[in-house]
Parts: sequence; structure tokens; C-alpha cells
Amino acid sequence: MSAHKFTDNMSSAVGYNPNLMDELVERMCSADVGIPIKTEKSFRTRTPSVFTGAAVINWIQTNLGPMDLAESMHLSHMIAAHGYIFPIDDHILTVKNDASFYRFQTKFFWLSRCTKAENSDYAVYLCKRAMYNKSRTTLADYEMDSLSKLQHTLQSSWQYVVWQAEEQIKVDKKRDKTERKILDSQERAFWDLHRPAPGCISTTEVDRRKLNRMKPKILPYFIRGCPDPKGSPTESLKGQIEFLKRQLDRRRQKLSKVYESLKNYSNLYNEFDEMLTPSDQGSPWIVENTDFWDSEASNAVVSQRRYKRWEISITELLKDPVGYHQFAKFLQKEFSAENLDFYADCRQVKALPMSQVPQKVAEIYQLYLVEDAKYLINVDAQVAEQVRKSTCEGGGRYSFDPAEEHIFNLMKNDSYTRFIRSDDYKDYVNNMSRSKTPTLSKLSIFVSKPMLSLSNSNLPS
Amino acid sequence: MDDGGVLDKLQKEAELLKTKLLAERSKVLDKSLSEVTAAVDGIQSYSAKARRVLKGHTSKVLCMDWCSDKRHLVSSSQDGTVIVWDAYTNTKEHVISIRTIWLMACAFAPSGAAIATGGLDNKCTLYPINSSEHSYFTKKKLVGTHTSYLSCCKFFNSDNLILTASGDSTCALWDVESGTLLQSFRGHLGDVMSLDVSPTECYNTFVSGGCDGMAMVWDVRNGQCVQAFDGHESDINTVRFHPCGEAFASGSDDATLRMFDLRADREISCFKRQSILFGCNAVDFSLSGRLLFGGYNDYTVNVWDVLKVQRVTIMYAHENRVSCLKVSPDGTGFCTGSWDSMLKVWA
Repeated sequence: MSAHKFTDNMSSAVGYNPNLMDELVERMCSADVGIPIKTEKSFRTRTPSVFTGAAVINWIQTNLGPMDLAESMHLSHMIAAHGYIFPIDDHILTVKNDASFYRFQTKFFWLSRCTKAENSDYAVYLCKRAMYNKSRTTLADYEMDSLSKLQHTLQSSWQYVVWQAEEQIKVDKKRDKTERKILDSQERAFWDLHRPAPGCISTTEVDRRKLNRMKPKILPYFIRGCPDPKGSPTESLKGQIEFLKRQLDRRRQKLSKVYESLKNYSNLYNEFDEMLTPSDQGSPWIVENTDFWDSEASNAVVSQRRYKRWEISITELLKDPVGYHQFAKFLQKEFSAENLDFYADCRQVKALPMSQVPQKVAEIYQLYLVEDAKYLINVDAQVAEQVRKSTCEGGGRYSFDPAEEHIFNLMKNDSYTRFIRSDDYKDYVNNMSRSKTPTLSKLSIFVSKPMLSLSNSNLPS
Repeated sequence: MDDGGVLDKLQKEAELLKTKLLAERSKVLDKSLSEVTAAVDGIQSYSAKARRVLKGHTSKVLCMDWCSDKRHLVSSSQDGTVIVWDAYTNTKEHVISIRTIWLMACAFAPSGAAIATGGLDNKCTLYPINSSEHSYFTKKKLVGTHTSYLSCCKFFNSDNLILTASGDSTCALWDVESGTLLQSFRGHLGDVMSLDVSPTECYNTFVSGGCDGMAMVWDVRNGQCVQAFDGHESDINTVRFHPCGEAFASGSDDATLRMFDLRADREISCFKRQSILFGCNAVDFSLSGRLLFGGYNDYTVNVWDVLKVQRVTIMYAHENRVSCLKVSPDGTGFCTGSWDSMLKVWA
């Protein structure tokens, strides 16, 4: 189990997995398997420690593949946008698939190790570059603006900023020329990351939820995953032991079984998955008409696609208002309509505002469960007793759960199976598939309690 | 025995039980994943285009939710506005400006008549949207308050109940009408970032994921944690049930997506690649549960084949982090929201 490796909250601050990113860039930097680094010599100038954009993209494609060019370009761009590699003569942190030159950022400046970038440091940096006053260090327009703004805000300590800049220049001048060139560019790239040029996306912005996030308590693995850490250590440990014991008693299915069932589910619903099996009408988003939605919502004409779903499960049948109505009609003929009504009422009570729950619970109890109930439902004595007890004890909206489950299973295993095989249903389906135009009887408005309307019924004012 | 001795003993017992539990959980691994999936044909290709680009927010889009009518959606942004869109016609139907920067989560009521929002104000607020603009504020309703920011809110199978997840490491179930806390869910050891309600008919469970790297399944009736899952190496940002209701997916800052199964009581697959380094903020399944979409911090959407645990395609969806992603209720398309201030509907 990998839980031991739980990382600290750094990853939430940077948006990527710092372990993965740092590991990858270290590989890119490595002398033997990484991107070949060279010193580019041209007339009069030497450009030390660089590699081309094409080399980066190629390295990624061969080392992290299989992937197409677009993906390796995107990943290269993301690595650059987060300051790990940078173009040597551009403020825009990206990678182009050409012979332009790039350099690695020093580990010290990696976002995973250093997220602090104070305004005062930025001021010193800008000040320093302004003082060099050479063409290669000339400030860009936006940097000039920043400098003057900072001069304003840091007015009181500006002397100190200037002094620091002068000191840094002195230190810099003692450095080897090549080393200085590299360091200069890395410092610039650091600020390009933390104070991006206009038009560039700031990649250092932190998700506000993560800013407000508590420091995670890294607890021993055996405690992680056990609920209720509240209370005294002894108490919470006792709670955890109880939880663990419950978990140990659980029956588990083998992975092969689980996969089999996920596979069966996906196969069963494959023909209804518009993304995998486009329907005749086509997705409204693509074909620019709402035929698909209209046919799914029509009460008059039920498409094959819809009643095929009814045949999958009772849940699918009850989800469709027309299916619900047909099933209710069937149950009426069988003199067991109270089962469906009871089920619907149980679902409704769970969705009610708290204030209406007690009354509804009493109503349901009177209607279906008392000895001389008008629509007495058929549950065994044990379940009836359970429900009676929890109703009396003010069990609230979940009072009927055992009975609801019993009745639902009854409908599922008995009534539903017979409904799907019944002549009524077959006639209905035949009728539907034969006539695409609605007949009068199909147009008649039906009164039923479709599941969907539950949520509408009691909106708070 | 003194207190330290008792604590020590309990700790050892817990440790022992945990080891046993790990052993039990690994027993279900009767076959390797590749053996199990060998018989399945992989999805060869999937492509989707941006069919709608919803422009209107002036700052990061942080959250979105579909309306049950399959064409409307609500989005919340750091610019302090909540927008209700008819995505199909690409029109804004309601713009509620709250004019603060605390906004984070939003949710559409099942009836489509109200939306819920919340964020750094630690509060969950309900806005009815069937009325005129002037009454948004007079009719708004405070539903519940946490002791830290609200990271996620979802209506719980009805307009009358709302589930919230918070940075205070708890989840809570609220009665909308009275603003009463019906049940509190304690167990996470870090901020809770996301929750999702079970799609199964029993209606009584939900899953949450948090900064402690844990995903927990809860029983709303008694507030008890039914199952707890670990495996992620960093914050879990998002959790979403598989449409069958027996498994769920999670996305994390560790740059992986994982699937956990309630029946196997463990992680069953991990979706990762060498080339994926960035955290995942949002996950969702296609209607059949075959495709798994992940919205990432590297501006992309990766589409995975759930049964083959392979990537089907990568989509360069936005110009900044993808913060939210949801498949439409009928599975005809999916919507992404991004820090680039746009929402896009893909099909």
C-alpha cells in the first residue's frame, strides 16, 4: 500500500505532483540519459549550457511516450510555464519546436522548493538590471512600470533596495563571465515565473481552497482511515478499533467478480451511451435540434430506445414517468397497486422538509401499516414490528426503510418480471413501435406520481 | 494500568486490526487487472468538440452543475457572480452578482427552481431563481454554516435537503426550510473537498474525498462512516460515483485518478501515465460508466477507458486549469469550466 508515501501540502500549492515533476526534470538534466547540453558558439559570442526547443520536445516524446507531437509540445510548454526550463532570450515561458535556445532552472528556484517571491526582492532585481544599463539587460516596458510602482510603494525603504542592488552587482562582477550569464538568465526566469509578462498566464496562483487548507495531520497509517478522531486519544482509538472490527466482518467480492459486473453494466448501457453509440436523432449539441430531448420527454410516443431501458431494471422503468404509469396500471389490474404507492410515499417522505415529516410518517403508517389499513401492504411480522417500533420512537423519514426495501424487492422480483413478460406490456410495445403517431388514448393525460415530481412538490418559499 | 499503558495497548490492537484488514483486502486480488480486462476490447477512439463556449464570467470559473432538464447549467466564479445558462441556446438566464470573492461551490436544485452556493463565507445559501432579478436577495435563504470554507454542496435527492462538504473536515446534511443541521459527518482528518450522492435506489449513502487522501462512504441516516478508502498520495479533489452505484472514482493532486469498489472494499484501478504530472480537479463517467473524464490542472481533459484502464484520448480543453467537469444528466455531452473564465460544452 502506498499510503506511507503521503505527500505534504506542497502539491496543493503548486497544482502538480512535485515528486513526479522534480523526478522528471532531474532525469532531463542528467548527464547520461538527459537532454544533451551544449555551448553554442557563433561569431564572437558563446552561449553556454543551452539546448534547443526541438530537443526538449523530442526527449519527452521518446522518454515519456507513446505520445503524439501535440502532447509532447503541450507537456514541454507546461514544464516551461512552471519555470523548470526557460527560453534564454524571451520573457514568455514556453517551448517552441525549433532551434531556439533553452536552459534549465537551478533547483534552488524550482517552484516545488521555493514559492516565496517578495516584492522587495523583485524591486532589488529590477533595480539591479536598471543599473547595469546595458542593452542586454534593458528592462521591458512592463518591467519599467513595475519598477516605478515598486519605487512608490517601497518609498520608505528605497535607499535600502538600491544599496542591496549595488552590493549584488559587486558580487556578480567577481563571478566568472559564463557563470554570471547563466545565473542572470536563471534569475530573470525566476521573475518571469513569479511576475509574468502581460498576456502570460500566471502559473503560480494557488487554488483558494488550498490556501485556506488546514495543515494535514500526518498520522500513523493505521489511524488514517478510521473515523472520528474527536475526543480523547483513548476514546478515539476505541472508536477506531470498533470501526476496524466492523470492516473486518465485511464480506468482500473478488476483483474478477467486480470487474465482471462493471463490464456487464457498461455493456448493458452501451447502446444508451450517446458518447459511444450515437442515437438516430443524434445528440442535440451536435445536430442542433432538440429531437432527442423531445422524444425522451414525450408522453405520447415512447421510442424503442426508451422502453428498451425499461427492460433493464425496475429502477429504469420507474425513472420514466410513462414507464411508471404503465407499471402502475398493471399493478392495479393485479390488485397490488398499494405496493407502488407505498414505495413512492416512502421515497417522498425522505425528500420532505423536516417540518412535514412527522405528519407524513403518521399518514403512511395509517394508510399502509395499521391492522385495518386501507391499503394494507404485505410485509412479514418481523419487518412490521421493526417499522412500528421506529415509527413510535420518532424514527423520522427513515422509519419505513425495512418495509420499503421488502416491498421494493417484492416488486422487483415478482411484479416487475411479470410486467415485462405480460401481454399488456407486449401489446403496448407493439402498439408503440407500429404507430409513430400518437393515438388518442395515448394522449390522454394520466394521473400518477412519477418519481421525478417528488422533488418539485415541496420547494421552500 | 496507567493511561499511557492503556493507550499503548489500544494502539497496538488498532495496528494489528489494520494489518489484518489489509490482508483481508488483498485477498480479493484473485487475478491481476490485465488478466481480468484481457477479454475486453478497448475503446479505440473517442472524439468530442466544443459545441458551446459560454462566455460571461470575468474571472476563474470554480464550479458548475447541470440542471435535470439536461440543457441548463449553473456556474460560479471568483468574479462573484453565479450565472444560470441555457447552454443549448448559449444564453444567460440569470446573473446573480454576489459581489464578493468568496464564492466557490454551486449546485442546481433537482426541480430547477433554485440554486445553492457557498464558499469562503463558510455558508451555504439558497437562491430561488423562478423570480425576477430584484428578488434574488430578498428571497435568498441561509441554509447552513460551517466553521471553515464550503468546498462542495449537493442537493440530496430533493430540493429540501442539501449536503455540504467543508474545510472544517466535516460534511453536513441540512434541512433547507428550517436551516437545521440534520446530520453531521465526522471522520476526515483534513479539509473535505468533494462529495457525491449515490445514484442507487436506496438513496441513503454518499461518498466524500478530502485533503487527508481518504475517500469515505457515509450513511446519512446515522452519520456513520460505512467504508473508508486510502491509496491516494495527496489531496483528493473530487469524487464521483460510477452510474452503477457500487464503485466510485476520485481525482487527486498526486496526478492520478483511482477507482474504488464498495463490494471489493478497496482500490481497483489507478489511472496514471508518465506524462501526466498535474493534479486532477474533476472526474465524471459517461452514461454507461465506460468512459471516465478527468479535468486537470495542466489545462487538459484526459479520457480513460474504465475497463481497460487505458487512456483513450487527451483534449486540450482550456487555456488555464480545468476546475470542474460534469457529464450532462442524459450523457449527451459534458461541460468543463476553467480558470480561463470560460465554460465549454463538449459532444
